[in-house]
Amino acid sequence: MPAIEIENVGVRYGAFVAVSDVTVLVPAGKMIALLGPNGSGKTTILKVLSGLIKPSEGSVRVLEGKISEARGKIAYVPQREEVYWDYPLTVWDLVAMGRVRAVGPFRWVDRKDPIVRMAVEVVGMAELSDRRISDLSGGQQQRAFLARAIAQGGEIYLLDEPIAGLDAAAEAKLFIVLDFLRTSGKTIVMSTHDISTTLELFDYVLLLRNKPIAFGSPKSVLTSTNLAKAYGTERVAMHLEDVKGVAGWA
Amino acid sequence: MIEILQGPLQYEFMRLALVTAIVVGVTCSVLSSFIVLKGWSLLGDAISHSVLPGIAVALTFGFPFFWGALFTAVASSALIGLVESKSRVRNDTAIGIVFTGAFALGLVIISKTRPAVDIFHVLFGNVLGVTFQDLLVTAISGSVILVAIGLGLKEIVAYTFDPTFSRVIGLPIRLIHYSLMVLLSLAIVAALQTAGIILVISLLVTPGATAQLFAKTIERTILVSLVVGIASVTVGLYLSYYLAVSSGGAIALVATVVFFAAFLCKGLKKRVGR
Repeated sequence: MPAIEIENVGVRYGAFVAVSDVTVLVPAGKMIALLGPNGSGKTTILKVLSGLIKPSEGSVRVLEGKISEARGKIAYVPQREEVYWDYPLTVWDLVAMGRVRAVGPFRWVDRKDPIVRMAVEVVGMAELSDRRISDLSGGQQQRAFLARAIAQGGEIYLLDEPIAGLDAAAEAKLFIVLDFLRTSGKTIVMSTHDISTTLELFDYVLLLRNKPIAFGSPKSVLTSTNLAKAYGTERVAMHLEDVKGVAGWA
Repeated sequence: MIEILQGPLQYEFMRLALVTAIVVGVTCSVLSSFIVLKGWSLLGDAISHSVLPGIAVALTFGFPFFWGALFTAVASSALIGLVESKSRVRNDTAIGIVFTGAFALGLVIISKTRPAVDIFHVLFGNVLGVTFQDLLVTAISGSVILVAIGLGLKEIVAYTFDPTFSRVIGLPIRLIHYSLMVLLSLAIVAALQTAGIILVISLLVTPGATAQLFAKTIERTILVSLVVGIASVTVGLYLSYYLAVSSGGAIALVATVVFFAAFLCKGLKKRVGR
């Protein structure tokens, strides 16, 4: 079953073309990385998939239907900087937010809601349930966001730069959760501007620079020619040697 | 001590003033938690200034100023939203333009029509002059605000914390946004008699800000905010009675003192903790 079908999608803001000619088909239960430098259209694609912006051209189908019909099943995990972490919420409160839609208006999310508890446990934060979100580390904040998406009952997970600013250990913990979700049939789309070793964990990579440069398995996409097109030569050559060395492709 | 507390209450107008002030304190401090968390302090200040033309027109034509004030409050918040979304002008600039414009319009109207009501009371409040009918209007407005927040609490929290997420999961964020604006306008109008146009923002910002220094959850934020709000209006009112000073001024001043006391306590606690 295709989870995401993007066909000839383009987004323009006035005369500025954020992204164009994107055609991608992602089956359910796969993990795909949107890779490219800043301003290359990664976030734009995530916003199209989440229904935040309408594409100027082309069509998008999610879970074999319109985005508006898949509302509750699309889980958007924003960049960490987008929210005010000093907001007085505990981890539990944040995760329970994922249940707001399902519980419906004029009712509270139960303090013992089993789905919230499950979500908190899946991301390994059961002991931190009662901690204020401002006291979390970056990696914990990211996992709490992910738990909220899980509590929401997401089928499609859209993550905007989740590993930016995380150290290797925090990154590894995040990927354990993502891998678990993938194994349970969820589809994960994640944007990143880092050409890092974690890319080998993905099923697909879509390399972008305002239009697709390459799409396919990480190994087939991450060639020096492709990366040079996306990033400009010098920086890439340096990065690529590292990536190949650590990933064992050299 | 009891005599000090009972002293002012022998007068009918003081009893009315105290009850009204407490109703205003409760209403504003509950809303205040969200105003502060959403970063709407400046917006609240703008809306409160913008009610002046509404009041001026109401006074001139002799209809209840509540409706005039409410109309201009809602209109100005809508206008700020419009300028902000339809141009490159940033939010704080849009606020600056609209509120000074509205305030100036009010001033011009008042200087021309010279209504019999003391402009000083409109600007800085005159809780000692409230009638039973004023109290009724305030209480109804307050109830509407509290019920609305009570019913939509989890949606309001979701929206004020993370509007993007709320939109993606399909919450009616426009409805929530504009409802909050209307509630804010309503609270300002309800508090006019007590605190006045200029000082009402102190009740809409300071209790929430004080609570935010300490509280861990939104429920506790609201609770601490309530305590600060009620204490400020009560102590302020007594001070205004015994010192014969402006009631709005005394209330706003007490709220400010409470905030800085809390701020200091928090600083000291941190230092001791280390």
